[in-house]
Amino acid sequence: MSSHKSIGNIARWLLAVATVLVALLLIWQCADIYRVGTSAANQGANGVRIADIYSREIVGERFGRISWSVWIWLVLFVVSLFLHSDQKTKENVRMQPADQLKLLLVRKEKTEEMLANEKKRKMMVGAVAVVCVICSIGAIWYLTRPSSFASRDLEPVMAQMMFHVVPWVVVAFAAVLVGQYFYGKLVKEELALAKKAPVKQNKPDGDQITSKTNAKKQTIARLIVLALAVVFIVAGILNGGMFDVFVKAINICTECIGLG
Amino acid sequence: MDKKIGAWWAMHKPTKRRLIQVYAALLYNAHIKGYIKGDIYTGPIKNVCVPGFNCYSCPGAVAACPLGALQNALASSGNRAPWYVLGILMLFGLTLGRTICGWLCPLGLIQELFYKIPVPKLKKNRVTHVLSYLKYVILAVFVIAVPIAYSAQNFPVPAFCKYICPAGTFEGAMGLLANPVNAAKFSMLNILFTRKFIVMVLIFAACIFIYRAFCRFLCPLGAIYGLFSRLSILGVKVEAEKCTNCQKCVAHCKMDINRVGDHECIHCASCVAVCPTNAISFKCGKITLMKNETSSHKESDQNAKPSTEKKRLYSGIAWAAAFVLLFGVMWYVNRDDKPKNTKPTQPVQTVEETKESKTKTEDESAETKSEEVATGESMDRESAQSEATTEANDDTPVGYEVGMKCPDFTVPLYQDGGEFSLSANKGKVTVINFWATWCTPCVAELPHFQKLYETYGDQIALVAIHSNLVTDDVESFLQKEGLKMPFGLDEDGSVISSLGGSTQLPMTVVVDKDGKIVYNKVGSVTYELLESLVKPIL
Repeated sequence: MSSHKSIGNIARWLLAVATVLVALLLIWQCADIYRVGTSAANQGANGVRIADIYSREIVGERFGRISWSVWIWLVLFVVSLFLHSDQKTKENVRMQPADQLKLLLVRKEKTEEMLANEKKRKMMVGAVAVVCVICSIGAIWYLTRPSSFASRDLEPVMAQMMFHVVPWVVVAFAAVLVGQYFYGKLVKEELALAKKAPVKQNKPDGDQITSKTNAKKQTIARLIVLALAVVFIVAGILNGGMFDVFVKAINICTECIGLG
Repeated sequence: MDKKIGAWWAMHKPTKRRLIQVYAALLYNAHIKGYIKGDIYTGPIKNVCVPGFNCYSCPGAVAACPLGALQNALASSGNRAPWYVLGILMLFGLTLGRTICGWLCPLGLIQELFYKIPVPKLKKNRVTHVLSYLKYVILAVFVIAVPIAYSAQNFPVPAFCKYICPAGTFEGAMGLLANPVNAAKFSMLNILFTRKFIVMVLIFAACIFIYRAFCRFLCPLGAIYGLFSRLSILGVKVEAEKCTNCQKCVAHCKMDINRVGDHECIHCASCVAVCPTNAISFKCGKITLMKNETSSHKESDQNAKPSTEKKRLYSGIAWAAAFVLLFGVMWYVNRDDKPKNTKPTQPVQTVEETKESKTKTEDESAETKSEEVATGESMDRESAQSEATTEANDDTPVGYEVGMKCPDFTVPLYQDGGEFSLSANKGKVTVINFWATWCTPCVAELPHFQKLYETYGDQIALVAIHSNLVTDDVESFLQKEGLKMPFGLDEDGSVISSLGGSTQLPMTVVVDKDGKIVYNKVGSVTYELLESLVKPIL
């Protein structure tokens, strides 16, 4: 049984490698078709291409070249599927420390040390939030400037946008990740403290409790959104918005689906 | 053996959710004829959006994609407020919320099927949790900021569709290219397709290793519906009185949720079965649609049998109604008689067929001409007869393929109220461009035609024809753009249809001095290409 399982594991890993291989080969062939199609050898007078970059024949021929990898993938897929089908999918679900702490805090009293730790955690969240706000201001400033989108030549515009917006996004996400790391550490510390903390005397109050007032507020909010949605749809039908959707949907904007 | 098969089936039989996902995918893509003919559905159902992610350029799609519609509505927000799409999204968000992602999204189904491939999986962790916020960035930048930024310039840029959307590449582009009828469309492919194909492969490959990778990290539609998580009527609900905060549901969930029913929860209801206190159920308002079955038996053992029978009955009625709807939609969208606003798809004609159609066309045109003469609105009888004689002597078949004689057409012009006629420009090289204000590549290439007109205007005839229905004020658009070349109108699509086009823009046709077509292609053109086409035949 265990050898059967290990063979199954090997097959799954091999299939993973084959999947990555097929994906890389597909990407490589696609990029190579484009490279050959746009090379100097395919440029005629006035910069006009002698032959099209893609054609059914070219794509067929290129796909034929990597078909072996697809066959290998298919064989491995069938083998893995067969071996996998006997195994019950067992999900290894492990409760996160933050969740454990949440659960523990329902019935444990907060000590001073825990409160100090909680303060540190809040400060951490605040610091990360400040970094995120600064980053979003940086990105929004670029995105809302009309000069950022002055040209209709979209390739350089998009490249510039990536150049100006992506660093902000990366910094914000990095800050969140770093924040999460330290937050996790603090949570673990607090979890250890919470385990030693005395048990709460009063009844536990879960944070998922929805009070009747909240339910009432929710109903009012729902009614407002529903009314707004209906008004918007009617206004849209009257101002021709629905016809716009129709016209776009019955025509193929070739560029929108990537045809060019 | 039978036992083994039985056990296998018990383990692998499709769940209710999977069946509903498949059903939704079939309903969204019920236009089977589109896959056979290689063209898209153009009927009135496309006035409405489906709740899930489904490219409306897919040959099978029967309705509009809400995200594509939103981008285009925002892209044209300079002319018209996007109330309709916003209203639709609010309605879907309020009623269904992210239940759409879990139950009604074809792209979600594709991702889940990819995840079924038995390879080692990457479970949710801190990084995936942080990355789940990336979709809000995508929503803000590609769906909102870029289309709005360009809307002021009358230049529609649905950036998400153009640069990221894997559904557009898979369902739209590849769905069309897979049909041999569309073999000519391969010539349009360039860097855009290369890039989008690579993005699609990366996303789908990621979905094999990571549960719903696109849905969790990139999908802006999920981000929109996530905003309605507290309000949505249908979905997984937690009974506060029963909940012990054990967090088993969160640990069991494959999505990056903090709690059941939050903005990341797709309401797949897999947590219903793992809740030890049966606090979780799938509800529509106050009606419970799904709860832990074992618990209900324990709680009310005596009433269990009748309630199960009732449930089965209701379930059967619901499925029957669903299938009636599916087959009804299938019949409606695949039937032969075309609805209003539908443009006929021009079949590829052989030379023989074209010759036959030429004879018919000549007969019809002869009739039309005679009628026009009778009302005094056409050329005089003598010149009509002489032209007919000349055409009769020319053996070149009339059609839209290169080498064929271009069929005559007349379109009204925008600028001076006159009209442009191909026959009136006989003896001149004629360049015909089909465009529309809502088509990004069309608007982008208009300056190339303008430049050609300015350079060779006295030697060639050029007309840019706004085709496939008008949505905006074209005259004000032309004034803003400052374009001086002749602009015509083909509102019912008859001219583009006669030249072999159907639902795809932009399209350019070049006709030589003898009236024969030397170029007829769908796709963007450059000035260099136009010049290289026109210059040798002047």
